[in-house]
Amino acid sequence: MTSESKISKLILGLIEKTRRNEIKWEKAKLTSNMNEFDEPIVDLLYKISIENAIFRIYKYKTKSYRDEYEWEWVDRVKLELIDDDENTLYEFPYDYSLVNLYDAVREQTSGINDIIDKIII
Amino acid sequence: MYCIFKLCVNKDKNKLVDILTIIYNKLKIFVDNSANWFEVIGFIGVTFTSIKVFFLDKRILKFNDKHLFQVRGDNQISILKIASKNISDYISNFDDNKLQLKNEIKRTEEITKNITKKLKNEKLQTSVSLLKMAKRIEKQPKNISDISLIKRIYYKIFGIKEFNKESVEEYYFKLTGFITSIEEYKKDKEKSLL
Repeated sequence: MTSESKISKLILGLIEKTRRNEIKWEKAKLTSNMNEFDEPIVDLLYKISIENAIFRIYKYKTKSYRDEYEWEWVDRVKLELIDDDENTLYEFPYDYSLVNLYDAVREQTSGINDIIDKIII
Repeated sequence: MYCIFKLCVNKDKNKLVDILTIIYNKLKIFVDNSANWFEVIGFIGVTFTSIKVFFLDKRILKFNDKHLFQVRGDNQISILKIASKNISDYISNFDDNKLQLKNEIKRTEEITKNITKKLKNEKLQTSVSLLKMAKRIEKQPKNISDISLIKRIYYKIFGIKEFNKESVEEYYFKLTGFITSIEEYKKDKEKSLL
């Protein structure tokens, strides 16, 4: 199995576990070592500790260049493996499945499903 | 001219006619030769223009397809994104969502086909493997126990497995990979359409 497909499996596994509420993500804070100027963070950061590994996920804006001086901001999602001091140990390559994971995490941490259930009942 | 003038003066009409005939013939040969050369140049020009028009026509057709992709691409990509989110949701409860998963896969297959058709000259390897996978999943029966014995034998002979989670997971990986690559492609082509 290539490392790329291992990563895809990991991300899908995290999505599944998050959807089934088998793992609980928590809100994280912005740290000083994050590059907020070139890549401003959008919304909240989330992290989770699984098997002694801490994962952090967040949405950020990045410049997408059309030409040398022409660019636009686009939203991207980053998943990282971090240490106890929140330094990045590994950055997972971008794939659209990260957006699905981020959506699943937001859905879980916001508790929107419970809120909807309460309102409907 | 001087000779002609001299002959005119001397009233040597026969010689004058001879000289004029020679000049006429020389001019005729020159005009004929020029006409032949112009004909050759014209033929080369026409051939060159028709070749150029042929390639220009191909470029316009390609441009038209790319323009269509730029116009409808955003909408199609967003449908693929929604479908990928739905697939990731349904996988977490695979057994209860087999039908929904099949529907989402069919939906994404149609859109991928459409995008691939528009960008037929581009090398989108991810779309080829995605479509192959979709075709394979389409053939897989939802529950092998519900089908007749003959069909079961047929599936066994051709190695067609029951609709399973692993194949959907593989499809999901390919789909998200395709979305990522098509988004990048769209960004690249936003500036230049030709």
